[in-house]
Amino acid sequence: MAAAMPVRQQPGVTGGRRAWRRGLASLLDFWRRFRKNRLAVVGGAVVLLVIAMGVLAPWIAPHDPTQADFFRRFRPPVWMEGGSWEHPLGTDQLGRDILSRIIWGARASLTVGAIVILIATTVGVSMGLISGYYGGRVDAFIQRVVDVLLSFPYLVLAIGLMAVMGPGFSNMVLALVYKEWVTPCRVVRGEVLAAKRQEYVEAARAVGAGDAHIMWREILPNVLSSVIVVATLRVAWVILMEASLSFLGLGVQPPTPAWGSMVAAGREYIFQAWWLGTFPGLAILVTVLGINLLGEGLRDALDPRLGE
Amino acid sequence: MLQPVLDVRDLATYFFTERGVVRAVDGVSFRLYPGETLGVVGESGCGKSMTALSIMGLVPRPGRIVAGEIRLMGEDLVGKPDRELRRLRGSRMAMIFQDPLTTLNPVLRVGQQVTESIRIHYGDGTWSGGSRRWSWLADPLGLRRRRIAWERAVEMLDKVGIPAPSERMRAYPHEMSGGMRQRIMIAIALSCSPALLLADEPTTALDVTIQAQILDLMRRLQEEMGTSILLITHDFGVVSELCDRVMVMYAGKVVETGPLDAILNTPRHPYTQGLLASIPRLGDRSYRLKPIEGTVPELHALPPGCSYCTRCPVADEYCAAVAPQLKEISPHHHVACHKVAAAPAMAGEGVPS
Repeated sequence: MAAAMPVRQQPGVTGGRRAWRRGLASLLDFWRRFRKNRLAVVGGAVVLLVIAMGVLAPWIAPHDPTQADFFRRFRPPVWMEGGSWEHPLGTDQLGRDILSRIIWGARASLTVGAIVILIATTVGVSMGLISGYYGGRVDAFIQRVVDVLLSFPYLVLAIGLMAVMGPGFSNMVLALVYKEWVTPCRVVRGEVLAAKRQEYVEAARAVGAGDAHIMWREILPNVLSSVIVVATLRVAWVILMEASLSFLGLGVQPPTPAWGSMVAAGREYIFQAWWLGTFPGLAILVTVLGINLLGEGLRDALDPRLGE
Repeated sequence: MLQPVLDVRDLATYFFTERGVVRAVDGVSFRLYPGETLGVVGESGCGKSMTALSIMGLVPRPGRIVAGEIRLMGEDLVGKPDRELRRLRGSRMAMIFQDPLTTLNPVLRVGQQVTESIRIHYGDGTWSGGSRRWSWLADPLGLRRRRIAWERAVEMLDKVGIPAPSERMRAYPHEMSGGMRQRIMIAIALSCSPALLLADEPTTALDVTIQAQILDLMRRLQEEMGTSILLITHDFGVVSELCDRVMVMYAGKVVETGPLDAILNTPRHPYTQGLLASIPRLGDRSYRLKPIEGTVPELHALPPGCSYCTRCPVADEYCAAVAPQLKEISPHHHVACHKVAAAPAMAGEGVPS
């Protein structure tokens, strides 16, 4: 829990270094708890790897991911007959290097995941705080909106929205945020309902704190650890959704590489050249799995109620 | 005559529940003068805490103040909009709660919580140490406000006897003991030098040895800062340590009030006598505990007469039919009982002092 809190520098007092050291100590403490969970560490490593892949794509990708070469179509992976180290995972129907496309494709997935979760968490946390804190009609209204959104299957809603707005990156982000805020909202609302009955809320009121102060300064820090966990776990879900939308041709548009659209392209050639769709599919699988493991590790390490 | 810091008249706080109207506070009147400590004594559910919460304007739903007035330094608080009450809470009147383990926010550093009250009231005109309304113009980022709050908080921690205060400011509540945390709560409550401190069982959750320290601290700070204290407790030991006057409450009403000495040594209401008799004595095994039989009646179904008549050893039909009024039986000593004359004056049984 402590590690999740920002270390605020207080002015007017010497000893900033001591505060820094204390922050470091709580971070170390968090790391000690986190690393006990081997799977979570593996998940974290996978996530870091994928992020590094996306960030360093221009330098580590062996080929231009959009460069077609019609003389090198359907080259198999290196270990198969006819494969070569030039294209370790083979080439696709246009002769583009699959490894390079996977490396570049990490960018699309990660950007969509990060942006959608960032916006959705901000909106969801605010809504959840308001809903849980004020209760009554405000709560009823927000929760009915949530119920309505929950009653739509995620993909169907996203497809419907994309059909109206048209395909494209920013429209996809919007379509995903449209429903994604519901999850943090419900989680936060539930926690706020419990937190607002705590005595420290009454104590804060007794020193003259107003509603906004109590919501943002007193209650929010108490629910922050669950927000972090939920946000992490939902990134995996959003990446899956991005892949699904790209698979359906509604997300990232060609020629920008994206794992979902690569799987879609590979589907046509699954019997002749299985590697077209399999490797990007594996990339999705490994990334989503890694994020889930990381998220569960974070939950165990951040939640003080689960004990040391 | 001095102007009272707090003047409560005929305060009535009712809870409108599905099972009926609960009269948590029912026509309570009292005054508190500068530098004075008034003890409010009674069993659980007698309306002690609700009296305090009514004064703070923090009565939880479905309760509300239905009648009476609460004058804090001459200003009536009843019916004031929450905006204005907020300005007074923490700066003119402050509250200490029973359990310091739950009243400190577990995820915020102590420093942030102690500076909170000062940061809130800095510049709203209620805190003497702060500047006036437009101060934010000179300090748009609030840096000065933060620095002043921080310095004042360190000073307060020092005042309540916390060693190495500037280092403790960075600690989390769970890194401190119960006594330390209650000291922190007192520091928070007194940081804006309020005229009135409402202490709701401030020592109940603490070890006996710590209790004495905290009471000592409260007495010292009161002398230093001149704060008036409304001390809510069910512990006559605490009352005898700290209070100048005592008010005994039963079922939302004041049944007896008077100077400490009169209440402890010559209590006249059967309920007060019962409370005093039920205190265990150290080192006297032959002394049998004398609990008051029965429990506080359901507050939404009170008898029409004296609410204590169901448990009172001297009550008769008249008591059950007609509610007694507070009557002054000796200077400043008021009792609400029809049987004052008949009831034996219990003398000298007193309290462990």
